[in-house]
Amino acid sequence: VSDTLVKIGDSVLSGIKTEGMLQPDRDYSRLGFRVTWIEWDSDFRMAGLQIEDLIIEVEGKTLEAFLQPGKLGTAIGQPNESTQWQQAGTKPGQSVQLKVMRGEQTIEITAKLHPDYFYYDSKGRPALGPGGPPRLAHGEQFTEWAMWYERLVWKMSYILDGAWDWRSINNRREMEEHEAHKERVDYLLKMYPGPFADAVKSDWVVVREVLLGKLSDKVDLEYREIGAKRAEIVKQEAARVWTQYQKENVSETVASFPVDVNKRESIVGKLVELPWITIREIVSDLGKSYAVIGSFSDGFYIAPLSNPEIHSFYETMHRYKTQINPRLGERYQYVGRILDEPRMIAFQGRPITGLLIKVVAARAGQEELFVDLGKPDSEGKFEFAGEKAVSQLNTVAPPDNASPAEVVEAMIRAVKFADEKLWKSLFATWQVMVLDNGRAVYNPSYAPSHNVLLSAWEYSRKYITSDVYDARVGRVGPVRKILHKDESKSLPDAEEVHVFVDHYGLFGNEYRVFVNMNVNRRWTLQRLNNGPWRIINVEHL
Amino acid sequence: MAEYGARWEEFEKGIREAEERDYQQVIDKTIETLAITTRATTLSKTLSSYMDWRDRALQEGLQILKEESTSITAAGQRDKWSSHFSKLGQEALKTILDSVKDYDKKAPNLRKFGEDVAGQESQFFASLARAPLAWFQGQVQQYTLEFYREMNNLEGKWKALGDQDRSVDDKVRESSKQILSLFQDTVKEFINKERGLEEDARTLVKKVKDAPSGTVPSSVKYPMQVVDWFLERLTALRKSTEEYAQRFQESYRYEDTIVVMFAQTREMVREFMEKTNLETAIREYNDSYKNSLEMANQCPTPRQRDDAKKFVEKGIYEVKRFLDKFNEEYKEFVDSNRGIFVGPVNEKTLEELLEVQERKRTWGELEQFNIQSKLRELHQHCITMFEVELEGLSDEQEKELKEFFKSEVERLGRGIVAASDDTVIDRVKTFFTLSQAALADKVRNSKGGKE
Repeated sequence: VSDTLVKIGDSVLSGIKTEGMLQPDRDYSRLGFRVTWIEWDSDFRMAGLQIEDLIIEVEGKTLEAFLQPGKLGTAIGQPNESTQWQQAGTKPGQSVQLKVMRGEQTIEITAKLHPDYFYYDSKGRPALGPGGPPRLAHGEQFTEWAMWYERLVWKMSYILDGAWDWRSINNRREMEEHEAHKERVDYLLKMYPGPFADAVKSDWVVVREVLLGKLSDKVDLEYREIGAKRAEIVKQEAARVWTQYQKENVSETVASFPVDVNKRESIVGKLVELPWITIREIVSDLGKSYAVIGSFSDGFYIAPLSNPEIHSFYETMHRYKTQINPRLGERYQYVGRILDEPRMIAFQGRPITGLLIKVVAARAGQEELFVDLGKPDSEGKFEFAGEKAVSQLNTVAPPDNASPAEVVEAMIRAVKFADEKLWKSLFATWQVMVLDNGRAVYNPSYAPSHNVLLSAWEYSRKYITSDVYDARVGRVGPVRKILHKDESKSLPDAEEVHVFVDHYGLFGNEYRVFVNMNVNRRWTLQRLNNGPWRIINVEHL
Repeated sequence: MAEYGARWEEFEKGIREAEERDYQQVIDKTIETLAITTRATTLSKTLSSYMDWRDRALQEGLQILKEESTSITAAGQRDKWSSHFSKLGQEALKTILDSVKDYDKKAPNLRKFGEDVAGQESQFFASLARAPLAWFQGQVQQYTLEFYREMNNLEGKWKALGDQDRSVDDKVRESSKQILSLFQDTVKEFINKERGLEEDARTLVKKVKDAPSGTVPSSVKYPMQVVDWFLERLTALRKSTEEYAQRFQESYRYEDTIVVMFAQTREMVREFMEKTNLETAIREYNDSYKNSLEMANQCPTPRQRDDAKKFVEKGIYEVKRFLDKFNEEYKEFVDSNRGIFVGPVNEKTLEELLEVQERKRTWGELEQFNIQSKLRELHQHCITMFEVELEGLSDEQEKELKEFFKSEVERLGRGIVAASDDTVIDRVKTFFTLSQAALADKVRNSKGGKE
């Protein structure tokens, strides 16, 4: 590079920007200086240093001395780093070795320091790179290059320095803003070709790639259509099986009303198809539940509900609600075998006499659920009509030894398939708070309120059925021990981990990961005494 | 002085020790010492105010244990209690942490002490949140309400069973009267008609005597009208008896249904009381007390444990009032249903349900009247009615007329035998004796509450 285009100053610089990490933060297990930017002309770019690397040693020395309030300024990557290099007698062009942490890995990187460069363009104007563009341009399509570049670097540093995981950004909006620079970057390449323009273009492309979000060929959309489709399949199947059930049993089915307990001989043992009831016809008598079907004029049938068959029916109904339609209406119709048992129970404040029935089949909702209680499967359970026709969903609770990722995956699945109970069970009923001084306080009184949970649940369901097409665990941070067991103080062992969830949205015809205020990317999980991992932050998906 | 103030001793000691440790780290005595003293005094004041707040908060917790309503449930009270103390724990934690957050530079040990206290107080409230006092308070109120409701329901059921039974009893009573009256009237009529047999026999003898040819005119040997009359009445008697027997059988079926329902209700009461009873409630009360003390013992510091135990003692006192109420309700339930739905069925219940004595008396009357023997006597008597004077008749005429009389006696006899058919009368007898005994056994053998 011609001497007229670059002049050398007195300072000694690394060409990197850092932020001092005085407290444990993000997922770093150590304190140090986090790289937030690497200048285009820094040797550290070529040496493989990356933004977000945590510098923990320089030339074999730890940085503890700098990690004090008021002592940060002369550390590597800080505004006055030159002072420190000079005091140490380090010269421009001299190599320095950094020890950095990248995730859980420790890496050594060696690169040369450089002097303070002052660039000029061909007209002798101060420039951003050798040959231009000028810091202050006049009469060109683009002016104010220095201010523009400073802002661009600030934003690119912001984005690349963990914005997805640790800051609140809207990547699509950032993307629009970033795209707006393209014309100027292209102009730069055309008008001021050279290493500076190449570096800017390269940085711009990298940031664009980051802002675009990961691309996915295939997202799990089954749950979206599955709701309506599965409900329809099951409803049709319920109607078909019900008609068939009626046909098969027509010979032993008797008219339901009127019924007289004193004239029951001819109907005992027969089947009766009872009219639909609601929960108003379900009563409790002497500690047991009964469905009362009938009237004072036509007589009553009484179906005991506190028995194993009905419990099985409720289990099946719960499965239906979890897998097919959580809003199944509370309407029921029973088919019962008439027993030779007159029974008197209290109904609407009056004793009524009716004939007991054993429920052998039941329907619920708007006729969309039918269960034949006479046909248990090999495990003694009952299927709802159509259950085999739709694929099984696994919204099962993760085992106690499930990994943090598995717990979050179970949470996502519970949202997708509307299993609120499972979803709730994955949140912690305690919290270990890490204070600003790094100390942890065990807070067993913490329990998410009903309203907070309800709101998070509703928004989760709302987003998974609208903007969020899929959600997957993107990465899992390192597990950190945040509290040590102390039985004398009733303190448990506590560990914490962050799990990062990728939310996929539909952009054009592509499914890409996105982030904005409406989705929660970072999930904090904790566990006590090696117990199950549970989610600490009650957020919507 | 706070009511639950044992904890204060630990606060005072802790502040003093932390303050001392901070003094030991002082470099510039003139400035730093004052700063530490100021912070220690402030923390002391903060914790003193906190103690007052904590006292009030605990009092509010006791209010939950005083709540009384028919809508209260165990789960509802447990959630309310747990939410109350969780919220307090959160608030305590925040208040204390906020008060020491700026202490780092000047008094790190005071800050550390404050943070420890914050965590410990959160644990204090978390332990109380898990104490099952409110759960039991809700549970025992549920029990009380259940027993109150079921007592009314059972009263209604007993009345309804009585009403249904009364309508059957009325029918039986009416039928019994009618059948006895039928027997009496029939026998009376028969006795009145007996003379008619003799008169008709004499008339026939006279007709034979007056016959010109010395033979027995064929018109004489026509079936006697009086015998026909007897046979018609006997047929009617048999039909009516048959109808009454059917009515009694039907009544039995109705009564059997009532008895089945009664026995099943007793069984339901038995199952209900097996699950929920005074012993269960007392056991749950004791468990709730014991578990609450265990929770109190889980507080991190000794003085917190003292405060928590004192609070549990106050709490259990409030809860005990509800157990006492349940005890009263339970006893009332047992007393009002004893002999009916609770314990062995007593004679009064049996009598009200089956009218054992009345049925015995009714059957006694029917048996004493003994329609079958009355009819048999009638038959014997009727035979004598045909033993009329045959003087003046030829041997042939006498023989022929005797044979005719014999055939008429036999015709009447067949009618009487048919009318006094054992099987029909036995059915009536079965209703009043064996069936009633079977029903009474069913009632007596049924198991009620606490059996």
